[in-house]
Amino acid sequence: MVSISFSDLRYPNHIALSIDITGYLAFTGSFQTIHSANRGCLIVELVKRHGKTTDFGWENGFYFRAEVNDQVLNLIIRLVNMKRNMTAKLYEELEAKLDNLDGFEATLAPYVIAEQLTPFGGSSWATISTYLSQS
Amino acid sequence: MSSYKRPSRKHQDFPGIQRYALQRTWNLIDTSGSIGEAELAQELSEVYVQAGDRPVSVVLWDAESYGVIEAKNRNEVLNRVLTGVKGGGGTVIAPALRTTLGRMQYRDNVVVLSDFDIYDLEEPETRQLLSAVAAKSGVAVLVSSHREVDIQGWRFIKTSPD
Repeated sequence: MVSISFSDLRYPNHIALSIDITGYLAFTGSFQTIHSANRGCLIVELVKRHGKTTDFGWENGFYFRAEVNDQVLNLIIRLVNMKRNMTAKLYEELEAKLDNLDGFEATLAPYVIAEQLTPFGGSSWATISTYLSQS
Repeated sequence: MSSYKRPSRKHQDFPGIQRYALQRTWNLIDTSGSIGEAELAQELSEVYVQAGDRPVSVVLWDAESYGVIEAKNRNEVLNRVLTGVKGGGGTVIAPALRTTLGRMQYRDNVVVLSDFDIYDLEEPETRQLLSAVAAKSGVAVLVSSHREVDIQGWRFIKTSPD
């Protein structure tokens, strides 16, 4: 169950979107706020197109609850955890793939992986560099 | 690097050509379906860190080889390699080895990053290609995230899960 609530509608250009995914152990945090309108729009669109709304109403702001499958949930978690700015180019690329979840995932994947790269290499870099220096 | 290819003008016993160059490293990255996102990030991290001090060539492969991507620095790894990641199919290493063998120069380093659940690893042709690449390379390294393999001419590293 994904619960999305627009908790702050006072600033038209700054949507504070709150996502509550308490029902899933896979998600490390139970409550996350995104201060990004583009990211928020993508998440709402994903839920709208691929989820089933179960409940909506008004409680400290408008909210609706929807049931989504694992793939959509995984994509939402990735979008929430992504540290890089949602550029206009990336937003447009993702927006074009909203109906095709596999395409959406493929577009998002390089950006998610890029955040996992470390300038110190992976766990085997120390040994690889020793071997390479012997050449 | 020095070579006796052209005779020295100083003395015939001296090596003729001397040049200083960073050796290129060929990274053969397994992008098959058995490689998860965390493993792929680990493989690309090894390439990313290498690109900081030497030119790297990347061959992405699963059941086929997806050509050679060259990167001179870390930014190019992000812009060229990461956005060009393809795969998700089976795991056949021979086409990638063939591509590498055809393009690499003598004494280039070769690193194969995979889980080594490779369909054609025991095939005679693949073994022959592995031997040929190892013989042509300066250092040949196999980096496995899952299975341990022992292939003559190759050094083996087993990655530890993060």
